[in-house]
Amino acid sequence: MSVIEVERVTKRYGEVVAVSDVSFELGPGVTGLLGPNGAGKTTLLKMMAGLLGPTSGRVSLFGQSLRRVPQLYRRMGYCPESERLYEYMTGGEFLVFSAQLQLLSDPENEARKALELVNLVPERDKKIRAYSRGMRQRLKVAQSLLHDPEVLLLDEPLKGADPTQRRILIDLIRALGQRGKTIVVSSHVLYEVERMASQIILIHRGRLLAFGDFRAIRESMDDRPHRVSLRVSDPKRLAALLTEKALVRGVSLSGDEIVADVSEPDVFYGQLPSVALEAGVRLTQLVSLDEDLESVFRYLVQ
Amino acid sequence: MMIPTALLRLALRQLFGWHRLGLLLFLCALSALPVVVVAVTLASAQFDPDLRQEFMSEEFRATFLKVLFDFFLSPLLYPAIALLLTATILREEIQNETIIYLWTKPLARGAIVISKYVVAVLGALVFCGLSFLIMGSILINDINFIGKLLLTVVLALLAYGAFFLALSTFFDRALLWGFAYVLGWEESFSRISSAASQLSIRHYAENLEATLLGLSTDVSLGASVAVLLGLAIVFVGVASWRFSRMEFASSQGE
Repeated sequence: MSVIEVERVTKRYGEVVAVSDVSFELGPGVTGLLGPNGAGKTTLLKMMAGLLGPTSGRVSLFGQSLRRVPQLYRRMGYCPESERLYEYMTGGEFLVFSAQLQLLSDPENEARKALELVNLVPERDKKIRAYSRGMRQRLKVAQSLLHDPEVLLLDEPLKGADPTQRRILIDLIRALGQRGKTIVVSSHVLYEVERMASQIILIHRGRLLAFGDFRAIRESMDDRPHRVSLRVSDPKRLAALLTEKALVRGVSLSGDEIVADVSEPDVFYGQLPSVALEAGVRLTQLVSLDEDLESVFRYLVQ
Repeated sequence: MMIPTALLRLALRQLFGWHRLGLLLFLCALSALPVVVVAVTLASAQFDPDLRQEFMSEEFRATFLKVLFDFFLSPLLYPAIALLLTATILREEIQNETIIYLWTKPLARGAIVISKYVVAVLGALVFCGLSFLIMGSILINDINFIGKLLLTVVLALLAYGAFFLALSTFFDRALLWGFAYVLGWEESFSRISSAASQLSIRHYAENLEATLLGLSTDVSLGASVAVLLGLAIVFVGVASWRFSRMEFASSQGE
């Protein structure tokens, strides 16, 4: 059984359609929820967290609706995008309070462990109002995982964090995913998602554009050429031969570099060594320029 | 429905923490106002032989207390104190968006509403009750009389508190709507329309007070108590119902 099921979910605010007919099922691992600002990511995540009800369709966690069964929050942790917190509490008090509401047997101990996980122990007794943006982010993440939930929904958890804090959080999220937690991380910063998640949900203007492994998604987009950078001893000769054999749609030359637009990467990579031999050129570098998440994102959103 | 003590402590801290010092001082000043009025009146009586003579009489003092109660405390001051506490305790948490941290916990939303209601009404009772007890004991020695008026305060606060809490689940500006109810509906419209007066908390509080003091009224003691308690239960129910259907759609971007 899937952990999170989203079935034909639509969310309208009057005439505005925030999310339109979106369906997917998620299991353990880290999934990146991607989309430009205003795409519907936060709305979708809030529906998964039970904070919003869909206008139509169904969202369930372990086969049940969070809005009907609040006990499911024992198995789910949610880190909101909002930076608002109980400003008059200290970070430690906030986590102890959260642990008490989760009815944990040793709230003090669980709060301490959560603070350690996000590297916030030195700030434990500081009032939240004195926390920096990055500290707030880490505190929100800490409160979402202090009861060791099976599911984590994190809305822009890296926003405002400095590079060191980002690394700490990315490593933590990746490690939790490897431990079998079902994690959904919303972000519009692609390289961060790429470092954490193997699977993506890509939404744009409320519609689901793609769902699955982003490398597989890229490979399935045959209508979009793959761009490959090659450094060779004689770029003009190799470029001419590649064009002649119709292995590329087009090439551009810059010094000793060729950037080739490739329609069928498997065929191209398979034949490239023999073509290079035939041309009598030495291949010194081969880099795929767009098998990263950003390319997938750019192509799909376009 | 279980209400974790952490929820009650949170509500207590929300209302009476140092961060709310301004409101606390204002409430202290409001609740001290009748005590100050009584003290000033008694002090000024020392300079007026006629007034001093009248204040020697226990009956006059009791009448003075009742007039103060009927025309200032019960219709205005105590509802205002209840409004300031009950209309803000839940609304503030919604507006601050900290409500997310309660909604994403394994808690029935009704438990959140009840915890806020209990703490806010107890707070109102402390401010109103203490003030009334001090004022009453300065004026008269009749603990029975003071007790009857205090019982009226308790039941009225339960109903007012629930009503204002319910308002706060519907309106962003619940304080404004609450004042409109107290000053517009109860203080103005109900005074000129007997039908409208029956649709006010104040009507049943006044009748309860009158029956407790043995005066003639058009509503029996049982009916007044039942209506005030019933209103408290119904409005807490309405607040819970409304709160449990609320969605969190903040102004934050996607």
